Amino acid sequence: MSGQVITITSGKGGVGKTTTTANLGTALAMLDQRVAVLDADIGLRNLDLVLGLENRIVYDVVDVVEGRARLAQALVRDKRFPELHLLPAAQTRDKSAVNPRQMAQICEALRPRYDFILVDSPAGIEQGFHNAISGADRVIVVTTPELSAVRDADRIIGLLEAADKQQPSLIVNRIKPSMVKRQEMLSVEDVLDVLAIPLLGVIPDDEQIIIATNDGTPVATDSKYLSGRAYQNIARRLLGEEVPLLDLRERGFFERIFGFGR
Amino acid sequence: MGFWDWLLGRTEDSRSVAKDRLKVVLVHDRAGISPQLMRQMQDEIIEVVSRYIDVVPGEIQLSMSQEHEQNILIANIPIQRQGAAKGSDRRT
Ligand SMILES: Nc1ncnc2c1ncn2[C@@H]1O[C@H](COP(=O)(O)OP(=O)(O)OP(=O)(O)O)[C@@H](O)[C@H]1O
Ligand SMILES: [Mg+2]
Repeated sequence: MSGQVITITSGKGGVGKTTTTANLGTALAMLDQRVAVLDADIGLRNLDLVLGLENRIVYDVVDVVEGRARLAQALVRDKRFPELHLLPAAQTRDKSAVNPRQMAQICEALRPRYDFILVDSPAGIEQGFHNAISGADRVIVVTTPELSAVRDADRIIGLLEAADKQQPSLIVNRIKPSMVKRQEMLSVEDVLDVLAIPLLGVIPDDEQIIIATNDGTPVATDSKYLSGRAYQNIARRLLGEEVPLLDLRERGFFERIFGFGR
Repeated sequence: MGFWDWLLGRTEDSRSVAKDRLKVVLVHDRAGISPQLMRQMQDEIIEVVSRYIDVVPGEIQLSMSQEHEQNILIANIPIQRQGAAKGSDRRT
């Protein structure tokens, strides 16, 4: 059995690619999958921080490409999840230190040893993006329900088509159900309507994600939180399960007290 | 429109405004046609059409939209009623 390479990308920066990669990697590892997460954001390394692995890095992807380390040496193991490994980005180099062919080779080398290889793409449409998608079997586009993020996602979808990639699927991140209810934010349906690609999942805007990132324990480890459950559900969908979308509506005061409304 | 919208004098909710603007910008992005290019095209279309027909200056509209996954270019060119002098800038 050989693993699947999935790239997480967005066009616009800061919409949640790294958070998504870390949480899906963690959620898949919790489902007993062997997972490698690969930070393709060379020069702006962050995936290690979100996963709480920043102090355990010895080598990075550029060391592997330039022959200073073997791939297996560079992979950082996560003590909490023995099946989750991280290939860190270099922090002191830039995107041109790796080319798309080399990135695809790394993905190929990881494929036999893992069930999932998740690639965290940098923002933008330049070389870093092309590096990140070069080895991908499938691509996940992350967007937020904001004009500029959706516009950039549309651009990325066009570029993926031009690169002959399979049609990507969509994660809508940072939905605020109360704002949507007040007609103050694009809804998931609005975003799907214009982007016209299949929906993989919806993540609510959740302060807990920031708290989880503060101590390097992805929120997906905790089903107590709506966002944690949302990531766990997406992981199960990646395994082929049919999981209905979560109801993200916050319960109002009376609903919580008296338990009605749902 | 809800009561509060009415009270605050809001005409369209912010979600619909966002969606409409998004649709317009995506049609242009996908076709690779910028608003400047549209204006240029509009000027040239007016020039060609007015060689044959008296058009109503200043009321020509060129726009793009999407229908059933198909991008379409719409030119709305009001023409002068017959008898109106060519070049006059008022409908008679
Ligand atoms: N659903 C969410 N709710 C609340 N905060 C979120 C959510 N998703 C992401 N964030 C926060 O948004 C910020 C940006 O997220 P992240 O770093 O994952 O984005 P990115 O797309 O990887 O950014 P870049 O383009 O710089 O690589 C982080 O501070 C993160 O904690
Ligand atoms: Mg990132």
